[in-house]
Amino acid sequence: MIPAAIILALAGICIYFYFDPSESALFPKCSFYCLTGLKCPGCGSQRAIHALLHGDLSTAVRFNAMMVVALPVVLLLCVGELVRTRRPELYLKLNSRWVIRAAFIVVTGWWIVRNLIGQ
Amino acid sequence: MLYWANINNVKVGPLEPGQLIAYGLTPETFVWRQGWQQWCKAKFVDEFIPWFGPDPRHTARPPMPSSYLPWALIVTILCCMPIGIVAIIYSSKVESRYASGDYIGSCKASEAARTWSIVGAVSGLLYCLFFGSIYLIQFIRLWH
Repeated sequence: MIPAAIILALAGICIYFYFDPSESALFPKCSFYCLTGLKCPGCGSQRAIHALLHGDLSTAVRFNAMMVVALPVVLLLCVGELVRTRRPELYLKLNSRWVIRAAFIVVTGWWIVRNLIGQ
Repeated sequence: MLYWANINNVKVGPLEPGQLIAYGLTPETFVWRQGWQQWCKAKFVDEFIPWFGPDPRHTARPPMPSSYLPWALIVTILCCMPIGIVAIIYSSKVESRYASGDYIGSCKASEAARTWSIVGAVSGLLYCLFFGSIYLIQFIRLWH
C-alpha cells in the first residue's frame, strides 16, 4: 500500500514537473467547471502543482491559493494516518474537532469566495 | 489461605493469591484449596476478587477509527469532486461520535468516510478516462 502510494506520487511529480497543464491539452479539465462554469475548490490545482514543482510560489498561489495552504496540512494528516494505532493521542490531536471543522469551512468557504472574487 | 492453580495446564501451588497472580493467574483460571470438593474459577473466589481490579488494558479506549480526512481532502481538492465534501462531513462524525463515547457509531462513520472518498476518487478517475478518450477521438479525427 505505502510503496504503491510512493510510486504513484513520484509518477505524479514527474508528470507535473515536465508537462505544463496550461499548455498541454492532455490534462483533464475540471468536470464541475465544464458543467457549471463555476470554479470548484480544487480548480487550478494541476497548474499550481506545476508551478510549485518549479519553485514558483506566487504563481501557484494565483492558480489555487487554498491548495498551496492545504498541501502541508494534508501531508501532516497522512503522517497521522500512518501512526494512528501506534500514536493514538497524536492522531486525536491531528483529527481534533477544530481541525476537521476548519477544513470543512475553508474548503466550502473557498468554493464560494473564489467564485465571488473571480480568483 | 494457600491455593493451587491450573495455569496453562501446569499445576502451581500451594501459594498465596498474590503469588499465583504473579505466575499468570487470570479471573478464568481454575483454583483449588484443601478441603474443596472441586476446582473453581478464581473470579468466583472471594479472596481473589480484590486482586482483579480494573485492568488498564480493558478500560483503555481503543484508538479513534480512521477519519480518512486526508483522503477526503485529496478527493475534494485534486479530483474536483464535490463528493469529497460528504466524506469530510463523515470525518467530522468519526471524531464527534468517538468523543461522545459512541465507538461503534464512530466506526460506522469511518466506513462511510472511506466509502465516499473511494466513490469520489473512482468518479474522478472515470472522468479522467472519459476526458482522455474524448481527446483521443479528436486526435484520431484530426489525424485523418
